[in-house]
Amino acid sequence: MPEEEKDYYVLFHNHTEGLELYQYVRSRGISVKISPTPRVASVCCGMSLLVGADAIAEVRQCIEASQAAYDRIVALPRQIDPHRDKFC
Amino acid sequence: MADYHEMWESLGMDVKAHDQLCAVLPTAFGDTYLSQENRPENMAYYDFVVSEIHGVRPAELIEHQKAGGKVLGTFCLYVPDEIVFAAGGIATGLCGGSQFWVPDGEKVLPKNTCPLIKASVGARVGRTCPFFRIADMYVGETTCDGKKKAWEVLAEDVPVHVMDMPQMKRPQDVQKWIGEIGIFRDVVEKFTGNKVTKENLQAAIVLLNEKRRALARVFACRKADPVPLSGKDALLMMQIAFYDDPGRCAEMANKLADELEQRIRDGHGVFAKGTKRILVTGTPMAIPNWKLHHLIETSGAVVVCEECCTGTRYFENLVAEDCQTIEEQFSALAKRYMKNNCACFTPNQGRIDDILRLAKEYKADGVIDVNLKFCTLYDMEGRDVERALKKEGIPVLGLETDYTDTDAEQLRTRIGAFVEMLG
Ligand code: SF4
Ligand code: SF4
Repeated sequence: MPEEEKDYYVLFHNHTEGLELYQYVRSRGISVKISPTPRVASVCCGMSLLVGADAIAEVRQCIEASQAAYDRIVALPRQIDPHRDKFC
Repeated sequence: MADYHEMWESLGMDVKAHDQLCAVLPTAFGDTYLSQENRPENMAYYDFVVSEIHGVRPAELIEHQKAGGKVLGTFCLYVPDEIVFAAGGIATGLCGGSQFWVPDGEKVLPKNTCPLIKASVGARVGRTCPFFRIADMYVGETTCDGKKKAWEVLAEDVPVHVMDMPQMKRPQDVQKWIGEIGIFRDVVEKFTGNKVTKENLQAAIVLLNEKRRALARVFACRKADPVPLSGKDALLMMQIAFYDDPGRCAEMANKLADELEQRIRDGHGVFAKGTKRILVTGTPMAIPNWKLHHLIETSGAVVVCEECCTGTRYFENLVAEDCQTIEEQFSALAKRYMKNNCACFTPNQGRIDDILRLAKEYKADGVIDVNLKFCTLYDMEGRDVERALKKEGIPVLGLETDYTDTDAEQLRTRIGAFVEMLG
C-alpha cells in the first residue's frame, strides 16, 4: 500500500488517554483528527486519533516524549471517501 | 479501547444488533465530516462526542440516575426543558435520525409513517439506543398525527406524558399552553420528587437562554462571506445540543463562536468567497441524519442556515428573564415556545416570514425546502413556501427524501443542477 494512500489510527484504552494525546499533539501544531474508531481497526468503538501518513512520525515522537498511554497504532488504507454516499 | 458493552447490557440493550450501528457509524462520520478540510479547531469537541456517542453522555445520565435524578426524553421543540431542569431532572432529545432504526419501527407502525417517527419508535422497541433505554419517562406532544399515535405504542413499554399542543396561535391558545405547562410541572414534580420554585425555574430559564445565545452566536457567524463554518458542522453542533449538558453546550458553542469571529476578522473561510449559499428549510434532521447537507456541500454550494427544528427554531426567541412571580414565568415560557413556527399550526404564516427573513439575513442565493417522506404537514406547506419565495425572486428547490441511501445519486443530480442554475 503506497504511503500516501494510508492513514493511521491511534487507539486508546479509554477516551481520557485519547484526549490527553490529542491536546499534546495539537499544542505542537501537528494535524490530527478525533475519529470514531473504524470497525476494521477494532471491534470496540470509541474515539481514536486519525493521523495522515505525513504526520505519523511526529505523532510517534510526541507519544515517546510525553510517555502518552495508548493501546496501539493501526495503519489502514484510506477509509474516507466523501462520494461513497453511504449514510447511517 | 473504550468498551461500553457492560453498560449497554445493564440497560437491557440488544447489544448484538446495536453492534451493527457501531460498525457503520465511523465510516459515515469519516466520509461526511472528517473528509472536510480547514475545519475550526473547536469542532474537535463535537467529533469527540460523536466518537463516544453511545458511551460518554449515557454514562453521565446513568450517574445522574444513581444519585436519585430522573431523565426525561423529549421529541419536540415545544416541550419546555426549563421545567425538567428546574425540578433537578435532565431533559434529553430522543429523535432518531438513522435508517438503522427504521425496520424495527416498521414492525409496529405503518410503513407510510415518516422516518423520524419510525426511527424513534424503532430505537425503543429494538432496544438499540442507550438514550432510549435510559430515559425514565418520555414526553410526547399532540403535534402531528403520526407522533400522536406513536405515543400510544411507546406507552406500552415506557411511561409517557403527552402535552396537548394547541394547533392555532390565538391568545386563548397561548393561555391553553400555559395550562399545559402547569400540568407538565405537576407531572415532573411528582416524578422527580422535587418542587418547581420561582428560584429554580429562574435558574433553568437563564441556563437554557445562555445555551440559546451561544448557538445564536455561532449561527450569526454563518452570515459572513466567506463562511467560516460548514453547514454540516453547524448541523452537528445543533444535533448534539439536543442531548448534551446545557451548560457545557453553551460553553462549547461560545468557544466555537470565538474562533469563528476571529476567522471572520481574518477573512478565513471553509468555502471560497462567493460559493453559492443555501438556506435549508423543512423537517428536522435528527442525529445522525447528515445526508442532505453532505450532498449539498459536495455539490459546489454551502448551507448557511437551517430554518427548522434542528436550526434557528431551536434558539431563536428567549424566555423573559425579568419575571417577578412564578405565574409570570409560566406565561413567559408559553409565549416563547408558542413563537415556534411548526407546520402543525394553522395558519402558519410565521414560518413563511421567517424563511424570507432568514434568506435575506444569511444572504442565501437559493432555498432548499426538504421534507421527510410521509410528512404531510411540511409537504403541504411546501406550496406556500415556494410561492412566497418565488414572489421574492428567491430560487427554491423542493426535495423529498428519507434516511436511506438509495436516492443519494438522484438528489445529488437535482441539487447539482439547482446550484448550477444559481449562476
Ligand atoms: S417539526 Fe414540529 S413537531 Fe417536529 S419537532 Fe419541530 S416543532 Fe415539534
Ligand atoms: S417530520 Fe412531520 S411527520 Fe415526521 S415527526 Fe415531524 S411533523 Fe411529524
